[in-house]
This record gives sequence, C-alpha cells and structure tokens, in this order.
Amino acid sequence: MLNAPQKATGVYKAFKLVWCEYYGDPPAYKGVTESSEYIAVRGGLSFNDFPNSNYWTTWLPTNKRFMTWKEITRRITQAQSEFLNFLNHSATATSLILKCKMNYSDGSDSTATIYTEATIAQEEIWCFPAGYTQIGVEAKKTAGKTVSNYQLWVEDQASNVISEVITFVIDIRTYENERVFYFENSLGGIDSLRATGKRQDSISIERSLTEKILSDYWESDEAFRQIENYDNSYVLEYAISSGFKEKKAVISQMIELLISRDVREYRNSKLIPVIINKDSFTLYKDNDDQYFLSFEYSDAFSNKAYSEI
Amino acid sequence: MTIALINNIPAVSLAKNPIAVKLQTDAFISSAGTKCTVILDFNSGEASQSETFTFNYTKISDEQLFTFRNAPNNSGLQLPAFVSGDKHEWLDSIVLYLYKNYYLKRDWTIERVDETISMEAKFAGTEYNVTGVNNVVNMLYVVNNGTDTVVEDNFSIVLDIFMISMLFFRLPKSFYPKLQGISPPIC
Repeated sequence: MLNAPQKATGVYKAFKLVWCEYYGDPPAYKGVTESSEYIAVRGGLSFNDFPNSNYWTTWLPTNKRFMTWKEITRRITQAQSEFLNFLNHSATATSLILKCKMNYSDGSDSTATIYTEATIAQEEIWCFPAGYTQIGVEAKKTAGKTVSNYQLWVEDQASNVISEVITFVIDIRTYENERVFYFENSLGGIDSLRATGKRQDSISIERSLTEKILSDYWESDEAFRQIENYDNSYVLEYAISSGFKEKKAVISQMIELLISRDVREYRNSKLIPVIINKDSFTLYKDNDDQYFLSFEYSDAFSNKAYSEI
Repeated sequence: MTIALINNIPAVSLAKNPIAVKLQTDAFISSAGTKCTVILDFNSGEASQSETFTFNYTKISDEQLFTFRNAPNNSGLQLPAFVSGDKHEWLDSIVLYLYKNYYLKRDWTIERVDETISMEAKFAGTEYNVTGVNNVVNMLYVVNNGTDTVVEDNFSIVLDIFMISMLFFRLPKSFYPKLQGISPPIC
C-alpha cells in the first residue's frame, strides 16, 4: 500500500481546445484559435448538484475538502490503510505539508509533520496516505501514550491551513468478520469501507458441454460418454453486510461504493478487483436507528482451476 | 466577427459532467441581406372612396387589392377613405386597417411617419420585394427592394480536443498500481 504521497496523475488530465470555421468551395479552415490549458478531473457531481454549481470557484476553496464526500470523522483500525486526495486550489501554495495531531487517551496531544511536498503547482491533485500504520503514527507519538484518535490536514509553506481536518478514530474493537474495500469515489479519490457484517460465499460455475453424435450401433463401455464436459470455469460470489453503522450519512456515502467503476477488496495483502452485482439496494428506512448496507459482489475474473498456494 | 469562445471554461472541470464549450461566429453569413421597405406617401393629399392599390410579394400567392371605403369592413382589404377631420388621425386609422390583413400583420411592420405610412418587411430577402399597381391619385407608392441573405457554402465549425499527457486515464493503468507499488501489507 501507498506509504508516501504521490501526485494522482491518473485522475486528472490537462487538455486544450482548438477551434475554427471550415467553409467555402472547396472548404478551407479559417480562424484557427487555440485555448489556454484546462484540467479535467475524473469525477462528477450528481444531476441536481451540477447545474449552476460553484464547486470549483467557491465551494471547494471555502470548504477546503479533500476529494471525497466521506464523513470527516472516520472510525478505522490501526492496520487499515486510508487515502486522502487533495486538489491544490490555492494560487499561493507551493508546498503541501500534511500535519497530524495525535490525541491521547489521557487527554493530552502532540502534533507532527508527516509529509512535506515541495514544488507544487496549482490544481495538482496529490494522494496522501492517511492510515495509522501508513503514516507512522506509532513512531511519531509520545512514547508510552495511547493514541485514541488523530487528525490530519494540509498546510501550505506559510503554515496556512488549506484543507479540512479529517479525524481518524482508532477502533479498538475486534470483529469476527472484517473486510476492507477500496473504491474510486465520484471525485476520483479513494474511499474505503470496512465491512464487519457476515458474508456468504458462493460459487457460480459455467460448464461447457458437447454432445457426441452416436453411430447406429454403439457398445456399452465404462469410458464412453455421450456428453463430454470439455471445459469449466467458476466465479466466486459473495453476499455481505457492511455491519451496523452509527450514522445514516455513512450509508448514503456507500452509494459511492455501489456506483464505483473500480472496487477492490483487500484480501491476502492484495487489492483484488471485484464487481458489485446487484442493481438495486435498500439503503435505509424512516425511523431506523441503526444502519447497514447489504450488497453482493463477485471476483472480477473467472477461474479455470482451483489451487491453495 | 471571427469565431470566438463566448463562455468561461473553468480552469478545472469534472469529466463526468458536461464541459460546455460555446462558440459564436457570424461568418456563416457572407451578406446579411436587406429588408424591403414600402412608403405610402400622402403628402400631396388624401385617398377617396373606391380608389385602389395592389400589394403583392412572392412569399404570398394572392395579390392583395386594397380599396379605400368611407365605411371599411373587417376583410383586411378595405381601408378608410378620408372624409373629414385630422389627416394624422386618418393615417393612423389606415395603419390599424392595414394590420387587419393577415399577411401584412404576419410579415410587415407598419407605422405612420408624419404624412406617410412606412412599411418594412420583418425579415430580409427578395421574397418580400413588393410589386403593385397604384390607382390612388394622391398617394406616392415608393418601393425599396430588399436583398437575400447569402450564406457560405459547406459551412461548419471544427472543435478539436487535445489531451496534454502521455499518462493513461483509465484507473487500472495508473491509479492502483501506485497503491500496490509499495507493498508493506496493511494487516
């Protein structure tokens, strides 16, 4: 997993436009004009939020959000990786400094600089690791103290806070079933879901059969098969519950998981691509006091064979 | 005016929403054309009962024969003849009666200017050019023909978009490999 900041060049592109008129007999290009450079981020806003949106001009600089709609307070385990994509909307910021305030169980706190990235251009998107182990909280904390939660934010070279503050609460509870999913969110960032509910595993097998044309007379033989099974493949399928979540908003934000083009399950130290299978989901009902999401998914590949390495 | 970008494209846009590019040009038209105008000039007198003039243009198939009557009806083809009173009021009433004609109401803007009635086609083009016969003794019938709008042949607008990067845009190529590239297990 990522343990140093990286420019998230995969989620944004610079582009230029060239336009002109084309007419006459024979037609010819006239008035060729080239635009300045623009940036397109692989993300979007919902149908109703997009029209007349001031997301880039006002909303983002005011709210200073990371590229996510996830809650600003998140409950994670020490081992869980997290990622924060940050778009440098500031015209004056040339360095991005990820700061961490560690709040201890005895009520005290300490602050450390986690990363310093210099020579940053405006509108660049940087992906910061944010997990407890990823950013080395254990090594940066005051010896002998227990971190109950830590807060991350981004400052510029003049110590101006240019991002929101995200609080990661360390969940010390142990769950019998715990699976972590990572997925691309609507703004091109990486969100996670730690599912603590039960999962049901099943298998879907596709058999390829062929039927032999028999002669008029055939002999009974132990090895003789009229129907030949010449190829099989299988896909592992899963039905899982997110486990109970405390806030309705957390379930709403799982829409990001359900509509994501790229979902990975962290399994055996690998990010295994999976496909969300169902098309319709129940999110919540009025007067619910606990929230969970059930969904089905399968591996994004089929297997020709079984193995146990 | 040469082609121009008329909307503000934000420095940063979201690719999953439309990125509008509005281009404007008038080069499509090489000659804008002119509107036909007709002056009914009553400076030398007034119209009397039963005097007529015709009004015809190619956009309509029927020739319009206008007749001045002391008591005009609502046919759109009868106009009030001058009987007595103020000349300007009489000319204003002619404008009202001309507007009772369906075609004139649809295709022309009519107003009184001093002792004349000025008519201007609503659109440019030779199909509004008027031919007519004037049998009104005290009316000058002046027609200034219009010209057609001329457009450029094969006109189109070209818009090219160039990506400025050698990096792949799809996520599996450039996104998760960065997460996997450095691989201390998280569990």
